[in-house]
Amino acid sequence: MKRKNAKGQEFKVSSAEAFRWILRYVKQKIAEQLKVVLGIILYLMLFQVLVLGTPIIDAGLIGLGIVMVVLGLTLFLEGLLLGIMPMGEEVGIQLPQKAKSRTILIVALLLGVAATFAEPALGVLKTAGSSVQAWRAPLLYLILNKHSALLITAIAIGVGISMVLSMIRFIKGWSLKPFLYVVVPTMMALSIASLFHPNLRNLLGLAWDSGSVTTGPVTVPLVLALGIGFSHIASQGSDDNDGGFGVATLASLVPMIIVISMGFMLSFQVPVPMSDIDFFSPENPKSEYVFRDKTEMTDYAIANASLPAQLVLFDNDMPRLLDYVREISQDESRMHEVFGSKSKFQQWVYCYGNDEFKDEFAYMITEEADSGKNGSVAGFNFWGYLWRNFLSAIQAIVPLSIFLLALLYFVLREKLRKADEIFFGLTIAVIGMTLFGGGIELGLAKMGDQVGSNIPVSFMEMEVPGGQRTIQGFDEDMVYQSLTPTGDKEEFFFLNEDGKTTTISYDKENYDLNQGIYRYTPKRGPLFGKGRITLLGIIVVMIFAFIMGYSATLAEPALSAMGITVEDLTVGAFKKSMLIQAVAIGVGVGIMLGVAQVIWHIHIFYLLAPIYTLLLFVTHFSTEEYVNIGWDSAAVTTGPITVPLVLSMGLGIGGQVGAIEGFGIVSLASCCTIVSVLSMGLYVNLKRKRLLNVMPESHSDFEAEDVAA
Amino acid sequence: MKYSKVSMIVSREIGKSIAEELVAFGIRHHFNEIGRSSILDRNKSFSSFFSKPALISYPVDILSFFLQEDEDRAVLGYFAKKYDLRSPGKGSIFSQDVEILNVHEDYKPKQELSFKHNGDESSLFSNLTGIVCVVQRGEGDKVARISLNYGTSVPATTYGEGSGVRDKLGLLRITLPAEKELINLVLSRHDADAVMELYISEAKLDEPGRGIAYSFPIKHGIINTKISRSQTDSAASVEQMVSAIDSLKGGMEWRKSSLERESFKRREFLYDLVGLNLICEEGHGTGLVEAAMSSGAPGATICKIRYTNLDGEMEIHRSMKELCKMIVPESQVPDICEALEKTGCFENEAKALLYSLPVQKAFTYRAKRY
Repeated sequence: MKRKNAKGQEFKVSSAEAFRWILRYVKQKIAEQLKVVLGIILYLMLFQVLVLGTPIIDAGLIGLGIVMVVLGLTLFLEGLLLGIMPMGEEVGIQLPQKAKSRTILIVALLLGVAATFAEPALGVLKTAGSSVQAWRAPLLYLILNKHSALLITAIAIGVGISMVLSMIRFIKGWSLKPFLYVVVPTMMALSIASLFHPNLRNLLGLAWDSGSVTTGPVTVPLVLALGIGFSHIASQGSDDNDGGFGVATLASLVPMIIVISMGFMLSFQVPVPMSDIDFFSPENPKSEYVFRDKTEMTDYAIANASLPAQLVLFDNDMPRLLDYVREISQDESRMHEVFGSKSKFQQWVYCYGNDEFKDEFAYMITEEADSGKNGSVAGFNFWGYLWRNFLSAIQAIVPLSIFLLALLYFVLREKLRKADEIFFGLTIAVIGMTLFGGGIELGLAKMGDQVGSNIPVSFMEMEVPGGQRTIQGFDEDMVYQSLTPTGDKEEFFFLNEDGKTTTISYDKENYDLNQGIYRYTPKRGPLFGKGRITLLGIIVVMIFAFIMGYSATLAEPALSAMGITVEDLTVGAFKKSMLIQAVAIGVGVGIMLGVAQVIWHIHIFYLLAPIYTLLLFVTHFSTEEYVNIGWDSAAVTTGPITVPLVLSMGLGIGGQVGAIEGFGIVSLASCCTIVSVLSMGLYVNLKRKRLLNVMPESHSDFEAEDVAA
Repeated sequence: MKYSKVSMIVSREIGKSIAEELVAFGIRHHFNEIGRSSILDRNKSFSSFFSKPALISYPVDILSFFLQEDEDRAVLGYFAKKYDLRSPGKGSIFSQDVEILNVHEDYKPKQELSFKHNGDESSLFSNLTGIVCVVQRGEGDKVARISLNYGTSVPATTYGEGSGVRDKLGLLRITLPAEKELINLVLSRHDADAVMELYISEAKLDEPGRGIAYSFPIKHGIINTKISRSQTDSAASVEQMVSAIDSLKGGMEWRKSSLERESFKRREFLYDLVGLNLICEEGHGTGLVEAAMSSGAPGATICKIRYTNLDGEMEIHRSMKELCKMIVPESQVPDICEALEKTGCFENEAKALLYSLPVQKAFTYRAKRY
């Protein structure tokens, strides 16, 4: 490689030298990510194997996933720092110099809307709401399914509005505090009003989560950088406004207001929550609005509702119902549409069906043995995974970049400085996002699902997930009776398996007389303490949740990028590690509270309200610098690593204790983060103040000039 | 045109009110660079048995502005008295001779100072030296400890980005970190050589790619000697006593012997250098440094500084600027000036201000020539 140096002389960087530089650079960057990713992975594995005592399934795929996550995170973070953030900052610097305020506000609105559509968190929200039952929360079900596009639009409008507000704030040099004093109480008031509305009450969790979930790993660093550049030039007001922060804060708060308002408008169309029998009965014509059409409603009822509710739909005519189900079972695509997969259908027959069903579809159950075992690996398509994640990475990064670059070249008529570096950064950001998105699906999320579905075992007895067993050639003569201390009789039998004899309680329902098969699911737990739901077990789960939240946060790329930015802006007075630690502790505490909320069925608002009230007070006493950083860090906590883990744990526990949905944990994590960062700020400021005041205020009378004279 | 550049390094809280006062005085242009100062935490704690005392950092403002050559003493004296800078821990203030070489017309200093002279000029020291050490990001605290451990004065660390050979490497440049830390220190002239030597050996400046250190003369000033936080058992802290004796003796020469004298290696310092500082609009720095490099500047460190100015109607404007610090051979200065002039950076686009300040000596790694 030949390059000209400053004096026009040529100097060489030999390819060996260049290679050594690249190697050192790559090694250093990978080592950083390896440390944080291995932290969370090893923790999950050890907990699953040592504490829960369950083996890790698909270990090979998980290993591959981990490698992808590490490489992907390394590339993505570098891409953020080299490409996405410098691009954002450049546009931020040029915008106020070249454009009129009207143009700026339009750009801000478009950017906010575009950023939401680029990183739709719909998948996350849908997962969180996957266990919502239409009759228990009709409005929530409606918004998550039929009107999901409307939901995203509402969030996008919310983010757009908050971008506009932020730009006005930067131009006028206003503090973030008054905005918080208006927005947060508004959210509280709306929440309190919603508590008395049967349908909106169920929507609150989704509404509080919607904002923080939307602000994704590309959007937050981008708007952060944009804000920093923008406020350098635009700020005419106070000098201590440390510029750039606060956009993500508003973007994660304002959508809540929009979503609740949208819910209120839709609430007139849907019935109030009720039992499934009433819901599907013809006396409730409003129910049909919740679904796209009558067929979807019937299908939904078949797959999810109880038998009496299904019968209501068929005028209590059992043969008609059977005909309907038979029709579904004979059409492969219909079966997928209604039940998801063939094995789900078999499970359905097994779990829901009465004797008539079992007789009717007995032939399907016998096929169970060959389809259940090797399903996950056989149907696995690696390149499919990668391609899907590649598309979503492109969607998240490319349109926004094109928008900003077009703005820069055509509207502001500026050329991009360090263009090669920025394009390189954007490229590796896309590659990185592809890899870590795929890696998370393959490795981290799988790991999270396994731990999440097994974790309730530590505080309650539960069926081992996926552990259905069948005993061939069962003989009822082998069933014995036992007595409990109170004199109740219970039936059980002995099972000899792998040379070990265990007792298994007997339930007549599970015995299939025709084929001589007994089906059962082994039960385990509680691992800690004795009783139906043990406090000791819950404490173990909460400690687990804290550490999981803590270590997952350490690996969040957007937080890392923000930490670097904060350290940069404060010239090291606010260290990156200090911010990350404070945020990680906050997330840990938040997730711990979230678990408590799910286990004890506490409505999310009763936890959020006191914390946000506390926050307003703490905010009042904090300096502007920490308020900006603290509230913004809440938006970055909920990223691609934490969210899947939190959701699978929340849903795993919620599924066992019968919670309505998995919303709310994310917002708890966010607001606890703010508390933790602000308290740290207060502490640090106190320490500094003491440090600077150690000197006595009154100077000694010993004046130099007197002596000199 | 000769001017005096006054700089103040004070904690953020004081900095705010000083900035307001500067405007009130009619100082039309001032700059503010954010930094951090670190002092030693000598509190007796469990961990101190095992390790070096921890560093406590606090944010500082580094305020600077230009004055007529002879106005500096009065202004320095005023601020020293007003903000009690003679008490250790309050901050430092100093002035330097600079020559403004070329300037956008916005800066043309036509300021008239409007403050009553009631200062305390006699407390100013005039035998001071400034040292700046530029190292890779992350190495700063190591260097900052040196002057604290030797009890000379409190350093202020700022951030910057290196620009030089790295920018000629194409994309390969991203493998070399550009982020730098600058440790700014003002200390007694008598300690300067010792501290410089410690900088060189501690930061390994005699190895390639480590950084550079240079010293420059200070006209007048007061330095911050509050180097540690410790519980005081006596009526006055050690720092207070030292500062009182400094005042008594009218200098710091008496402290000279307290510095450990190491057998200095014979270092090949660089002489006949000039510090060229270019202030321009944000985003123009890299391009202008490239122009300067094409006529002999070896490279630059680019820092972000905040700029506050009063326009004709005395309205306050604030914006962000870039300060490019270059150390260049004296003989190259005219060439570089010309090259910069040619880029048109003193026109409206970049609104540049170029000034030079004398450099006593500098040290960095130099490849042996064969």
